[in-house]
Amino acid sequence: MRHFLLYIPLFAIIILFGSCEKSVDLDLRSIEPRLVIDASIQNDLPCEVILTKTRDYYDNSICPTVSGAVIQITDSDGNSDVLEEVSPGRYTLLYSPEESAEKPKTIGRTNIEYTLSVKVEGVEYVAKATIPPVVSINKLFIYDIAVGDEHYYSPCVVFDDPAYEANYYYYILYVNDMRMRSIYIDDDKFFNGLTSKNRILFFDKEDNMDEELKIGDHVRVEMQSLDKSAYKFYQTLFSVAAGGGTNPTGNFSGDVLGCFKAYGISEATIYGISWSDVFDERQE
Amino acid sequence: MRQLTLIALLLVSAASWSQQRYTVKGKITDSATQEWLPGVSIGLKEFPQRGVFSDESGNYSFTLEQGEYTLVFTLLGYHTHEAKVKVVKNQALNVDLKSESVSLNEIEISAQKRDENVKGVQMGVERLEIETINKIPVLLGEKDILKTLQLLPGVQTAGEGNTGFYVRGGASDQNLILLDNATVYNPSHLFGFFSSFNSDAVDNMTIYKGSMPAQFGGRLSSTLDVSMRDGDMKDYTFSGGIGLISSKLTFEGPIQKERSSFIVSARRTYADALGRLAGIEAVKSSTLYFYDLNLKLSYILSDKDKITLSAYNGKDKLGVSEITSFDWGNSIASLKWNHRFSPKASSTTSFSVTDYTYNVEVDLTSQFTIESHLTDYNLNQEFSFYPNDRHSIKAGFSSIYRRSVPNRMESNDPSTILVDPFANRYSLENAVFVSDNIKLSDPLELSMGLRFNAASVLGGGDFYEYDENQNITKVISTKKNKFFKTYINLEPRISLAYQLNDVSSLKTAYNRTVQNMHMLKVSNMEATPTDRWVFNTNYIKPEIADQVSFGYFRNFENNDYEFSAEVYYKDLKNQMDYKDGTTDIYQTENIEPFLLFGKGRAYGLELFLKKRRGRFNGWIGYTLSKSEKKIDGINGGGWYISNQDRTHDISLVGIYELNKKWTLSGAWVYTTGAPLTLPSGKYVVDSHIILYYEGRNLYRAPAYHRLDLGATCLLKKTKKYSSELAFSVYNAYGRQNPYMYRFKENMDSTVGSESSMIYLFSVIPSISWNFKF
Repeated sequence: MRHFLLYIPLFAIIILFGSCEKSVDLDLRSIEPRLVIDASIQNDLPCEVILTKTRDYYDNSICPTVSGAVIQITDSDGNSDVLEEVSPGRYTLLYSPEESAEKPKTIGRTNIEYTLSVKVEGVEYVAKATIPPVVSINKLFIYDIAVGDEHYYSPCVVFDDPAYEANYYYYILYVNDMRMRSIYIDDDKFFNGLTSKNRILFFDKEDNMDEELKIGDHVRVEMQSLDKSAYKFYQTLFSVAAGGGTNPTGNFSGDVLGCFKAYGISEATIYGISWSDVFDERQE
Repeated sequence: MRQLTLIALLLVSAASWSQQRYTVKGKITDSATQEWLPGVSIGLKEFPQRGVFSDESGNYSFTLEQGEYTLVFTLLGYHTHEAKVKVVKNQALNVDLKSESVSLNEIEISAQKRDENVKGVQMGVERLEIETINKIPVLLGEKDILKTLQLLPGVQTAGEGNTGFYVRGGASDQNLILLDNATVYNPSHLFGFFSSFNSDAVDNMTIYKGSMPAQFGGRLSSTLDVSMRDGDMKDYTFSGGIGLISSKLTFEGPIQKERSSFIVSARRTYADALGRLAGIEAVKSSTLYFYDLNLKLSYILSDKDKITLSAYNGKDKLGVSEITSFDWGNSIASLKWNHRFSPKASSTTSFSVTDYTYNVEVDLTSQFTIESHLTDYNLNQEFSFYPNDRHSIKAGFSSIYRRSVPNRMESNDPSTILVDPFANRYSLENAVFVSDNIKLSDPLELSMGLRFNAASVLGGGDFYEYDENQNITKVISTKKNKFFKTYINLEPRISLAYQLNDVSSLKTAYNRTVQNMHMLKVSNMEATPTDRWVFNTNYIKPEIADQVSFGYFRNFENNDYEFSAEVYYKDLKNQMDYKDGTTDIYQTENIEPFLLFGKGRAYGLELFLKKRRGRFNGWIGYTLSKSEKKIDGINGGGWYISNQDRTHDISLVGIYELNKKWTLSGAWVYTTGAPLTLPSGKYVVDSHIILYYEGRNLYRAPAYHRLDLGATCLLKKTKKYSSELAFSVYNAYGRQNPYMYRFKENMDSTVGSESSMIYLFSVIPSISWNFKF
């Protein structure tokens, strides 16, 4: 619903005039690379941080990584760990649950606040985030939007929103094990404490090699309960300032790009869409 | 400010007065329709330097020394009339002027004297006659006054095919658009591609971009004053047209011959119906149309009183299957009473109601509706005095009570959607104004005006106070319609004209304008129907602009050619923009924490050469300009170019009457590309490629240019009946002007960042048929 209204004008213009698209190369400036911190922590897993740098827009070489950083995570109970660089630019705590090795002290736990300190080239960047409680998906089905003779399928999730606080959600959609690029986010402003029956993840065929969702497709939805600051990062990707041309708001102190995201996940899967998964009316 | 008023009063009282004078007065009417003719120039053949104009009710009053004179009555589009008078006593002389136009749609009415641009004290004013507008080729043959306006210097289009416009570097919400004195909040249809003004119902329009008369106020950059046409007072007439996307019909005639008249005009588009016929898949189950209805009733009660009632209703409707429907439009009613106390004093009183509304219905897993209203009740009073032929004084007041019902959402199923409606907002805007046009000496004319503006935020709902980080520190609850906060501003308006000789003049003006209503765009497109208008609050302050301008005006060849050169500098205060990462303006009640405030400046040079008469007429306009903003928190707090900045802007318009049957026309526009915010880099977070921006408006689109061609063929013309075919080609050489840019990852290659450009129009031909009987 959020952005639905805003798409209506574009839709109308396309109906009216049609429009044409052609590939162009723009004369974009070259930029001084800037540090990007992509950090996250979730339940039962250690914190993971990826340090990279920005690239020029048309630069399609491998993303440059940043090695040699000192990264420390501290939880609100006072436990603390220093992350290891396990591959260039990737920092985490090595442990494998299968071998029943001792769990790191700072492994992700619900309702615990984590403070992450990243020191790169003598500058320290700090962010805090709390893992919110997991909200489980009650049901995943396929919603059928009929426009004239055409049918457009989109996944739809049902879940019970907890009443006690503001909740923030971020959904990742996988079709035939491929991750779709569209970003779906929600806050519970319009359904706090209710059963959310109407979260349609509007399917964009551009994410799926121009193929609409169809019977037989394998669909998986990962629903993440987000910490507020991570929600804000995703939300501010859809800015109206400067025609959408502003950088998203992260939660690190200092002049750095990226975000420290704390989250809990739940999942639901349809192993091959069948007709019984498809509904075109309101679910009761 | 008090000094100014004092000077004005002194000048009025010091005006000379001779005892041997008598007054010739009377009313000037159109011989065919009996409409009153305003703006008729009444001159003396014997003393060409002296002259007066008829007022809005067609009345004039000329005070002359005893003697014999030849009065010359001149109005563009009418045969000049001469009358010999012997002035030995006060006397009345009523005059009928004959229209000189011959072609179809010929009601060429203009309140402009042939040499008004040189002789008048106003500067930065442009008038367009409906006849000119009708001959200029436009998109899909829809004659459009707002798009024609954009062909004038200092007025720039807000985007491809868009009716939104920028005046002298001001944003599109800084234009006050009036239809018979009532504000039109959304002057466009179909997201800006067509204007709300059905050209068949429009008489003329005037745009004030430089020296704003004191009776106008409310927006920073310009006032566009559009008048609806009076119906024919003698005969019944049907006229209409059938075009590619719309049809229209106008019916007018007398109610009581030569005393009262009516005009009804309707227009409706059928783009969706055509789309369905053509089998376009996307429109099969969609609805998309708009309509306009205009009505005007005019009553001449006596030779001293005239009453007109104007009404307008327009609506756009868009529906997609049964999933969603969306409609929006303006409704306007305006009642106006002209009264003449004496030849030297008259009054115009008007009361209008304007309502802009939109409705959304969505039925997609759950049902909800959204309704929004913005309603103005406006009382206007204007007195005009002509104490002698050296002064023309206007005084009056304007009072607007405004109610805004923003974004009222209702859920049909409260178990799935929670609704917390936004508070209604109320405001009162009062203004008192006085102005005097003074002929100081033969070559020197001065116009002084002052507008006193009191904008009151009325209670209803909560208001907030913030700390410097814009966190709420205090909630102020208010009661409905209690005065909460009042902003008072004085707006001086001064202009001075010096006649160098009979054909050239120098003018200068200083102007302050104040704006209390501000538009917040909810998306990145122009003219989204859900854009939010907000009044001042305790936090959002009135926008203020000071403008100085200077101009040289020169006419050639018996006033057939007009040339003007104007320079201006504008200083703007309390300009707003969004913070980085502002989202969800539409669904957020309290938007104040997302706003940043700063200042702006705009300056430029405008050159204009116009040929007014003859088989070939048209104009060349050129604007060199800059528009910038400086806001803490944007681009490091330095000056940056605003969205409205266009360095060069050229328009060429030509209309050529080939023979009695064919008229050809063409328009070419060239504009520096619009400022753009484009990414300079990219980075990866959580497997998403995220675009990296260095700052706002650091890039520009390529130059915009386009040629439109038109031809009108008069099929038949008799006294009673006429019909014509109009052909037009929009974007004749198929220039691909970018509408927007897209940045995406190519899925086929492993990693590949691509960019593409979306353009809307290639060559678009159209045809329409117009008739009248």
